[in-house]
Amino acid sequence: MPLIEVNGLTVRFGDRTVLDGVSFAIDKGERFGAIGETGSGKTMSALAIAGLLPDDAQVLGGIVFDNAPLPTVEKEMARLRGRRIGFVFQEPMSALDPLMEVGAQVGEALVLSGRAKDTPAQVRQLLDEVGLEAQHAQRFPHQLSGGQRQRVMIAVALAGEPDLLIADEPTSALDLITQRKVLDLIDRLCASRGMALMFISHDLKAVAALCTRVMVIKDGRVVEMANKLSIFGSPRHDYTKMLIAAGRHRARTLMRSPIGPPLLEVKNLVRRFRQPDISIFEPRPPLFAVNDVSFVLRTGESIALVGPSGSGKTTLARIIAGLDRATKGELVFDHQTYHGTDLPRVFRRDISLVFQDPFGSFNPRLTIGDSVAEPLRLEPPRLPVDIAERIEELVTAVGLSPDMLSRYPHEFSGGQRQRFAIARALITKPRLVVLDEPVSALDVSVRGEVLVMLNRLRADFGLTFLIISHDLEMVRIVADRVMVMDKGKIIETGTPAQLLEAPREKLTQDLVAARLPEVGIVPAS
Amino acid sequence: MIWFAVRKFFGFAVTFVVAALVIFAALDLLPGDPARFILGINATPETVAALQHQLGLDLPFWQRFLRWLGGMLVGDFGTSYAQNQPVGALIAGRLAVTLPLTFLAMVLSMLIGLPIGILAARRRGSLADTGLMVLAQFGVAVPNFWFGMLLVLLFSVTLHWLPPGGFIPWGDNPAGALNSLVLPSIALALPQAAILARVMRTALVDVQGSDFIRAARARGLTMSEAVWQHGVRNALLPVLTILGLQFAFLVAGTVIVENVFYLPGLGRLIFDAISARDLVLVRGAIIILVLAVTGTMFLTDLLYGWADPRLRARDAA
Amino acid sequence: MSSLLEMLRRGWRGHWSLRIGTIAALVFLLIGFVSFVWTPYPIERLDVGSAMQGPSLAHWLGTDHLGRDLVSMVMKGTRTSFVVAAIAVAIGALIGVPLGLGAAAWGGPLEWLILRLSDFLFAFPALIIAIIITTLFGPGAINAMIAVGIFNIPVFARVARGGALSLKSLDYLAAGRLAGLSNWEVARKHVLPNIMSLIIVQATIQLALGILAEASLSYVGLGTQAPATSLGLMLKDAQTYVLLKPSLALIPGLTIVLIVIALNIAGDGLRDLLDPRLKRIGALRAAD
Repeated sequence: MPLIEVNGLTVRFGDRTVLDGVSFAIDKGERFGAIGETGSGKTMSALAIAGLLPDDAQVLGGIVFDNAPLPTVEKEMARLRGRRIGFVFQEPMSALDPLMEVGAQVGEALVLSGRAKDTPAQVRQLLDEVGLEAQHAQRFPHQLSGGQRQRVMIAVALAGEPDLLIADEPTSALDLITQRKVLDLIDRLCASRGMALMFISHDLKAVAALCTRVMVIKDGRVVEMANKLSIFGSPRHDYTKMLIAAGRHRARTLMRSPIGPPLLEVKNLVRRFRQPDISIFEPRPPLFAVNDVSFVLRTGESIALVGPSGSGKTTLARIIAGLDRATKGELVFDHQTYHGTDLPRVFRRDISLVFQDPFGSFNPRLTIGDSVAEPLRLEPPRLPVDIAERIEELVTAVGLSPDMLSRYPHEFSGGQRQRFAIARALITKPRLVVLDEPVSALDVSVRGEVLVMLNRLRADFGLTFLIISHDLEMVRIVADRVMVMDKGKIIETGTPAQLLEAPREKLTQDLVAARLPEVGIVPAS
Repeated sequence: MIWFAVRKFFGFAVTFVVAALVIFAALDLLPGDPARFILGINATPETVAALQHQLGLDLPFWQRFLRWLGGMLVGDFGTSYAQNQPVGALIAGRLAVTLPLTFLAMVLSMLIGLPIGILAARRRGSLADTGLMVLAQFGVAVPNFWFGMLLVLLFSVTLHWLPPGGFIPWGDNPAGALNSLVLPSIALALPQAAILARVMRTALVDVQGSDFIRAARARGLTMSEAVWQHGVRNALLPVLTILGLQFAFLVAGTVIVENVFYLPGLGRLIFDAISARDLVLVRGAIIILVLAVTGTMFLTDLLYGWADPRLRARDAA
Repeated sequence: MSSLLEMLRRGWRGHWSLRIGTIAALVFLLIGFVSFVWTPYPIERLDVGSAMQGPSLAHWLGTDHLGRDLVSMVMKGTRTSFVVAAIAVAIGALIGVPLGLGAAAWGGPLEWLILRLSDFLFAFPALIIAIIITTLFGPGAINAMIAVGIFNIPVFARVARGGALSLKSLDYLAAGRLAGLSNWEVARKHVLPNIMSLIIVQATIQLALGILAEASLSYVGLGTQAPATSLGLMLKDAQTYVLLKPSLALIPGLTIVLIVIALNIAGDGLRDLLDPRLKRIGALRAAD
């Protein structure tokens, strides 16, 4: 008998339909996954179950929870949420009241569910269950890390001992190792408490690891729903097949140009940030974002820099590209010594940077064409015809059409923008391209294509890559060599295969262990 | 929190001293010699020089400034040459009108503005919301002194409920004194209340759409419980910033509205002093206004830091 | 910039408040500016014989205690109010916006200095500045412009800095720097166009506040002086005669209220149209 049954659920905002006749059911204790890309409507289905849709949503269709239709009175619905449905949101920072200690927020949930007997003790126990310490109860949300906040959210969701836990992309705001820990925590809690789980994600591997039955949702419709083995083993719908193929990252390196002489030498680089003192009597030590880093990057080579957030890898990339200045040490690019921002103008065209966020890297008020052409001002003035030719060549090389150039950034998808961003980075024919998490902001389904394209461009243009990433899978596809960075230092170097098979350092081992199993080869469970 | 307060106090003190310096220097530029003013045109240069020396006017600029600043710390604002009275006493007498008026108006504007803002936000899109916000639109646009004139026309001239102006000293008749402040404080408070209502509404509408309200509902609160227990507190933070600024407007507004009601407050003192070119008095009165404004901003900062743990942390970090 | 204009054109149809507000404000602006070339009667000519008349065909709104035609007075007064407020906005924006942008672009000691300066200016409401200026140089309309203008500087500086900081983490600024643009060029090419909407909205608000402030200052004798007139000065004159003829106070007062409402409605409409934050909330809701 299903715990929750959704029948022909349709949700509209004005004349926009975000969910169109969605039906599914979740049994007691079942692990149910919902897969879909940004905007597919998967979150809306979860909000509908919890009665949390925005006020202006028009809802058609029925939802039955434990044999009774969802109450329409807000008060009853609220109590039902408090006692029977736990909800974990995507953004742990904004989902906690910033003015309230987190312990009090867990306590509030306990009181609301009517299960509060000895609230402080119960709060301590819940925090312990999600892997936090008792002292964390007195912290405010901003005093906790992203992973800790998400644990608090889970503790809040567990307080009412719910029958159903809804987790909406609970890990997408967290770094790789923390992601894995939170997933394991949800897995363990569902098992120990016998809760049903509705897990919403665009990450197939996470869904595969947690769920037994999966629903694939696209443009507000369910395209496929079956148990995990048949979805990942023999997907029937083209969209599902595409998702799974994209998730596998099976791109192989194409022909690569031979590795040549050193192009960039990084010598004992240090970047220190002054941290404001707590008071004049409590000075704080400076933060070493990059602490004595040295390496050599050869022409034609592709090196990946891997590490958790805060390890200093983006700072290092910004210094190399000339956006930030090293406190100590130096860089040598093609016999030219520099320290970051003092990179001579003639060399600026030789080093380019691709940013992580394709939405923030284009000025919304300029046409894409103007933005892509912007770095050309670093070259001697050219004829407009030549400029147009160069832009056309690159836009074609990244797989887009030159007639898109007169449009504005908001008219393009994330994947298309990232292609334009790569075109912009290549427009001055640079010798070194620094890529800062080039695909992590993209939907899984387009990541693979962009990576394949990067490999092709590297071969075609004879480029040297320095790629920053936290994703070992991706690194395996695009890098010849991997450097693992932690707390400002490079702690381990090797080929991708070496690191994946025999990681030496603890952090590398954690990173390797945090990988989820590939989908399609799911072990029978 | 202590360091936060100390740092804020330091900022306040620096702002105040620099403001005092600017005011002192500006008014010092003016031609005209107080000693000559006091003694009249027929005084001999020797007597003028003697009086200058006696008043400390022959000292260098810095020393005179520091003497003035130091004097203020002990309540000595100098002597008005025109009225031959200590400036401190003159100002204190007028503050007995201006301060109660400002506070009355402040309290009144909060009592009216905040509930209206909350109500409008809770009923967003309803007829009540639209009606209240149209009213607020008027309130924001009405000059307070003109509103004061209308109040006099209605409540004093036509209805004879309240005095049209003038002031009965507190010592003579406290109730009468309060009575003569009713209309002025309403005239001051309503436009401010309209602004507060709009800010409160916007802040609460913002908060109502935020993730943590949704999360609070997810843990079992109804929408209105979530708004009252989590939303209002968060929405009050931006309102607090506005309150600090509003006090500055209120002080300025008080000085103006006093004219409508013929109240013997700080405003009248200043305008009379300007006409009489009584610079020492002008200087003292302005510095009191600046002190009121900067002091309130300092208190607002403290309140803000107390209310928002993130701010304390950010300022320390 | 072109997309900003396009947005305005598209929004024009949907936003009745923007339309009403803008049209009403323009009508008042027109009324005021016609007085440059024509008023029904010259306001400088006093005609005590026809003082305090009620509305008539000759004088639609009647005359004041000096026999001046109220229609002409309101026209000239509206003009003065607009000119004073507009120049004050120009002073505030032209000094404040570069300060705010500079603070955000360079940070460090410059930003500290600009922030302290703006804190400092906030300690001086327009009234206090006007008092100081009047004491120094005597009263006049220019006082009001400068006083309100100085008060506007930190307002615009904060808006510009806040807007620029909200963009600071966006990579297209870094991309501009990679392309060899200086701080100043990045501010001009990438930041300013993207905070223009914020500045325009703030300008309408400050224009409305400026008209109110001019009225206050003229009312207490620190602003416009006879024989010129402004809406605030008319109210000052009306104070004495309000019991005899309330319309002397009602007409200029209502004119102020209507102008300020028109500007505020236009500003609110513009904000709804241009503020990306409000739009994003709408978009997010339907996104996923």
